[in-house]
Amino acid sequence: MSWTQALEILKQIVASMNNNAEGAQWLDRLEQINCGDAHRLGYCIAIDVACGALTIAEYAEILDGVNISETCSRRAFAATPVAESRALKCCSRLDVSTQVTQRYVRVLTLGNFQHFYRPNRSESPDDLAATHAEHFSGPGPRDLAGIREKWSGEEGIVWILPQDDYDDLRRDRSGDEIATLLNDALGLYKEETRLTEEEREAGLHDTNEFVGVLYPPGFDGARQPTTLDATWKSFGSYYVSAGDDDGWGRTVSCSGNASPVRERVHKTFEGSLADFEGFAIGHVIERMENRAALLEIADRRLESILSSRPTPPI
Amino acid sequence: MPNGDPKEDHAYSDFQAFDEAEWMEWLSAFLAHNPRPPFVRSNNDPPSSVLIRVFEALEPNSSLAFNRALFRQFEETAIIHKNSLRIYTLLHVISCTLPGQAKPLLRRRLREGVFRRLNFEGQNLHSLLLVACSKFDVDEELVKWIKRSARNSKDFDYLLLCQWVLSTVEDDQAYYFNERLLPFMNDADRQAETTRQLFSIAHRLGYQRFHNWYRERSTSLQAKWPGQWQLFVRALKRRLLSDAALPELAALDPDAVLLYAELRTSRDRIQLETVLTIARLHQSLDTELTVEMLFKIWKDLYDRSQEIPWNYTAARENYMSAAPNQGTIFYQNAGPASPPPVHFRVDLESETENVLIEVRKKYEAYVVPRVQKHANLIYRPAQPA
Repeated sequence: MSWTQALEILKQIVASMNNNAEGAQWLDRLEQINCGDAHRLGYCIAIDVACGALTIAEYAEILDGVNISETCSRRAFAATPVAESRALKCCSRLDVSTQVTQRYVRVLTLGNFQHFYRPNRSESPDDLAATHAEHFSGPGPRDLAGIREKWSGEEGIVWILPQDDYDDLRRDRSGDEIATLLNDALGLYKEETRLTEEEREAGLHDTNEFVGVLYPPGFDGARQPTTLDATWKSFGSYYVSAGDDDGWGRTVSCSGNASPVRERVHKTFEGSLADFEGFAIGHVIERMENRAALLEIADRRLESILSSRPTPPI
Repeated sequence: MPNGDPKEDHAYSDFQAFDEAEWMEWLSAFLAHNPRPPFVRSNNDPPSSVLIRVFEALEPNSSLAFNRALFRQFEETAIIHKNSLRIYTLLHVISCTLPGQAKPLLRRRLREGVFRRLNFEGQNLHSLLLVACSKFDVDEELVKWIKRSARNSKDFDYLLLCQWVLSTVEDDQAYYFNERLLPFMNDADRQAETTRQLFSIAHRLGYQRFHNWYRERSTSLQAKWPGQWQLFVRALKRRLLSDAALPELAALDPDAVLLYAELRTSRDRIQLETVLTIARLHQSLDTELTVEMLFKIWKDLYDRSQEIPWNYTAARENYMSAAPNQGTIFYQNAGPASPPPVHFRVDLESETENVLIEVRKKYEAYVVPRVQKHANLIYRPAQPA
């Protein structure tokens, strides 16, 4: 159990705060688990510090803005001015090497794609079918030319994985099997489709259906994710920081059964998406959740870093 | 170690007993970002998607109560900037859950134009209101309103949306609406957006109407907007009806072949490469249908020009000649022009050859009674040695 060591790192952060009385109160609530995902947040911060992705000083500055009237330590962290300003998004200090031939894949739901990039299409079946055909499955070019909205996600960043890892996952699997596995392996935990097998075979679509976007080679600007890239406003995500010294984050599977997949994040950008290529994936058929395993993984990750690098950088 | 937070987990079953008043309270809290139990997990989805998921999980009685409360939420939301996200969410949900009592109010708001000044994350809410109205019914009144509002609009996104809404009406006005878009089609992005949408519209309305519109209007539009028209046609060829896409499109709607050929017809002449591409569609369509489409194209060109559109012998045309070994054809430029006449050769598959033979039979039957001298034209396989 490395939770004790995680607490030690968190205490060092609190000690570095300008207002460490409030920090201590926040930490006390985090330890008491006043709301879900509090320990996961604690582990993630500790991992970031231990592996050098972010410093104690940076976290102390963030926590100086914590509002202790919010009793949920996770929500209080998410509402700090630095976290809300998104100033430290995609800001890991860990080095990333970009290969010229490297291609990334973004996996997202059809509903989210429409929400961000075709916002005047509704979630009615005809609009979903049109969006799917126009970008992901029709016979014409599936590039994203003409999308003028910022290429972004919920928190102003986009999560991506290397094409090689995606190809490994999809090998010998049908579209729905790939979607179900991705939902688990990438820690997305999207709801199962409500379409029947017959409806899916007839080509009907729903908002939770997965689609993918292949990036052009040599895309630059991606970083290893940190705690500040994840969502903490709401409970239930599967992010756990990774300390591997290769510039990649690692996903955590919802069920605890699938192997981790490499992941990175990049900031929103405006520009042509003519070189980005959409492709269809499939529907999530079933999902499983094991949040206890999630914390066990966080525990192992921190322990592994600390055993190789006992003194966290300050 | 904690295992999740039951306070924030989804609980659709708890909603089944909700009446309208309970929905009002729950929706008010949800839309104010201060949710009350039963909590639903958002999974990073937009609020509208979360609400639609809740609605889809409801039994009929509760879904009626949900819709009544949803309508009241919309009715009671002040039309001010700070409510933009709320209105955006409500319009998206209404577009899917279709509370019947909302239709008159949506239409009224549309006529009033009161959402024009409201935007949420770049999306104009007036446009979104039009989408919501269209999900109930696109009747004559709404069509008139769309055309009126589009007449003086220079907002390309809005015009594109108008075309999409018009395509729900079973006639050809969505294609004629291309003419409103054409003046603004001056960059690659807009061409991509338009052709992409035309794919979906053609899927809704079929390619026959698209073809008819193109035939009827291409000459005048080319004269009126020469630059834009050229770019538009190029985008249609490259993005909508490319050689690569044709087999799949033809399988969805054989009439796509007619538009494909029309786009490649110049001065009532068609390249033999195009003829051969179409003849080879027997691989995705059946032979009979391929013959029918190819003959339609041949007959149409003949009727237009009163000349044989493709053949062996015309002196100034590309022509198709049989090689000594049966089943091989050469594409050549006729006449004395250099470089050397043979450009490339194609080995015809037997089924493609059958298509050409069948087309020939058909046009002979069509032409011979009219012009006897044309009886021996077009593809004829070489005699075996």
